Amino acid sequence: MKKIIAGLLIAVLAIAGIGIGYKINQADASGEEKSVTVLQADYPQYNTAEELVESSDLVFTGTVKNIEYQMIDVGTGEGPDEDTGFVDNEEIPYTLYTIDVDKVYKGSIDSSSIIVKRAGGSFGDDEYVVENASEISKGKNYLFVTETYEDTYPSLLNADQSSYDMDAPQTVMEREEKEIMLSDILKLF
Amino acid sequence: MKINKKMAVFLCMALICGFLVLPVQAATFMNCGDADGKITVQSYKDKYSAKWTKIIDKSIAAWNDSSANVNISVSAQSKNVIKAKRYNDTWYGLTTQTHNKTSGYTSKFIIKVNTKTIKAKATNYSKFARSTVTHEFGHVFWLADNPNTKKSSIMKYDRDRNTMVKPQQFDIDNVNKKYK
Repeated sequence: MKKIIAGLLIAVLAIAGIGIGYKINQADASGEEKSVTVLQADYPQYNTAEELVESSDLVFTGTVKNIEYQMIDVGTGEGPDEDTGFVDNEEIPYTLYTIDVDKVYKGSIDSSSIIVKRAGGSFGDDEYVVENASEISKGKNYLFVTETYEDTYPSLLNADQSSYDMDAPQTVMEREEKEIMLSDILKLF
Repeated sequence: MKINKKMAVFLCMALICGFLVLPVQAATFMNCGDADGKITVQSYKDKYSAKWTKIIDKSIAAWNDSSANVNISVSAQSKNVIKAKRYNDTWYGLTTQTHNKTSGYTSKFIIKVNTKTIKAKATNYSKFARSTVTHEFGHVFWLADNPNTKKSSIMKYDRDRNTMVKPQQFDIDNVNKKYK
């Protein structure tokens, strides 16, 4: 029994050690205090698959072939904004996903591949992380729910309800409150 | 002795669970925010239409007039900027904060507000825009997006942006935990 208690205490100390180690790693080895930039996005939230798909003009499946990061000016037009009067040409950090298109459920795509964007990305020391964003990995097959624009890449509708892993559909047991499942979307087509 | 053993095991398990639970509790707060809750934003009245000046004024007042221990003032020298215009993306608001990696204290922030998505979704444009700006200021006061609570919050994605324009009691309480 003593061995069990000793083992548990070692486990606790090990976890505590990991926590302290993580904190230490936050500081620069040279002793200088580094700055990082984070990004928070306030997105629309959709209560049903119908609402989500209705808000999208391009729904498709495909395999992610490449992921890259790019600063993009997504402002519309030059000069003062027609709504606010404000002038801004600042670029925003984006992650670009190049996708080999498999099937288009809504809207149309002219070529066999497409690039879609989502705010955030990695730029040197700056990590622009959108919290709660769904994971999108290279080589995997997803269903994407997007909005298109005339002069820039389509965007995912939000951070957590716009990409669905086609190879790992969730079971009903895993459904959380207000969660939209891949099967809910596919049922609409 | 048997009870002592059980208690020891229980205490160890509780400690382990405590460590594992910490990240979940952190969902209400970001890992960065202003040091003392007294922030400035760059002068904006000469850059915006009268309608938008009023929207930003009211959003700032929503925090300043609340019981949250924070203050937002306007300064020509401030590095912190509010940028509202039509952007080709799906977000309503976007805040970037540059902060010290060790302390978490924010040294500069930029709030972007997307009038394109607001116009497309709002039934009350002015209130929807105010809800967005007030929400974005919440990030500078450490508040994270979409907290896991049943209580009303300006930080929730599913709030009614056409009506909720002020920080809610849940938000004020959390901000005051940071600025006692």
